[in-house]
Amino acid sequence: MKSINIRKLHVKLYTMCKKIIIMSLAEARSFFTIKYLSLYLDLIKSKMSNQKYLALRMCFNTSTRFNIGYNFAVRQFAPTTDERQAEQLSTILHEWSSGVLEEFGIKVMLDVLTSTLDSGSDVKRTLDILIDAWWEWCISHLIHLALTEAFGTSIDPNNNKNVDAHCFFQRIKKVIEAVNKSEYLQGAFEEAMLELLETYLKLFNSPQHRWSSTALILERILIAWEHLLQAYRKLNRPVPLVDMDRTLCIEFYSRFGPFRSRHKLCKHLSLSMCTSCYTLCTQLSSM
Amino acid sequence: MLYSLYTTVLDVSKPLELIIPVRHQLGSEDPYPMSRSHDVLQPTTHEARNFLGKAMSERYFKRYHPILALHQPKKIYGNNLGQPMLQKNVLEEIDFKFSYLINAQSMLYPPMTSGKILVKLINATNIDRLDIPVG
Repeated sequence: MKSINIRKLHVKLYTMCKKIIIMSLAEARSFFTIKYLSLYLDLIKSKMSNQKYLALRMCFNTSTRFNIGYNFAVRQFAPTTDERQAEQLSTILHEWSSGVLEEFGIKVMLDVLTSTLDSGSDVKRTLDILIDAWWEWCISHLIHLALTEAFGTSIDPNNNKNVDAHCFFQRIKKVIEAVNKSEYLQGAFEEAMLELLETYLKLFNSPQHRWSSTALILERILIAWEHLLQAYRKLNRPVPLVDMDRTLCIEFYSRFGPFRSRHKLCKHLSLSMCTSCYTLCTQLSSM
Repeated sequence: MLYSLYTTVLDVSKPLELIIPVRHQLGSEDPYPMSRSHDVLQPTTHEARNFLGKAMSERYFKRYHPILALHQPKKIYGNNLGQPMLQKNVLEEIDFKFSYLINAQSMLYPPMTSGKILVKLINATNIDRLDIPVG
């Protein structure tokens, strides 16, 4: 069997993808007399390696196709200490992202119209001021921040405005940890679930500051409420939850619900809607 | 999409529609009614709703509120803030970065193109002169 050179194959694939992207961009450029490109830039942190990555996505329309989106890059972002000390983080981000854009033949001043981002100062400054692309909120980020603030689920306890809600979530978290860590409790809980629901649903213990995970935690708690109480009673342990906690769970979950549906939708739509609106309206303005 | 939140789940005068996630169990009845008036909500939920309303307003509604936006000219003029256009007595369409809103309205509803309906709407809105920043 002929051996495959994976590295060579990756390079070939990359070259092919790059060629397709450049062709699409050329099509859009020939159609529009205005700037036409939307960017999304964010810094993400790998949970496994704890390394930071720069994610750059763009979106545009052409005369024949609508809502074309490509992930330009997810590259490790590791500026040297000298670089960090010499420049602001936004300037470094600008240099890095400009490098990626140049690779695809994108001229920032001529092509980039708008951007959707969270309100992180570094990323926002990079696109809003250094690249001069009109900034609009990424609606998913916006909803996340508003809910985190309102329900006191920020990572830093000092930033929590809603202390009661924060305490409630801490109580729920302790119960989930107790069940998931104790073999006896988990066994009794599993047994109760299998008996009544014929299926076992493990309690989630996701990071509390991610509110979409918080909604899932509440959902699972509410579904398994009776079984949870039954497990505690079976082991003759004091039940740490009271009826008011269930009421709060329902009320909080109901409050999350409408936001959650919009959050899901906007994950896919924010950038493309922003692109279409701005492109169309700028085109109208230039007529 | 977001404005509908403002008029439903964030509106304190409207009851909260309860969503109860349960796996389908025959014969089980949930004691909770499907919507709950604002008065009978738990104080923590009440507080969370108020905080949520404020947090959304700060980030979203304020940004697109015409009068509040005037208080933050940088949002309208962007990096051109401080240029002579702010000193003009009569602003032209080109001076407004947000003119795209008018264009979008024109596109969705052609009679808006003449601007007459827009002028009517503006005249009908009670704008205090003190709300408009000078310079």
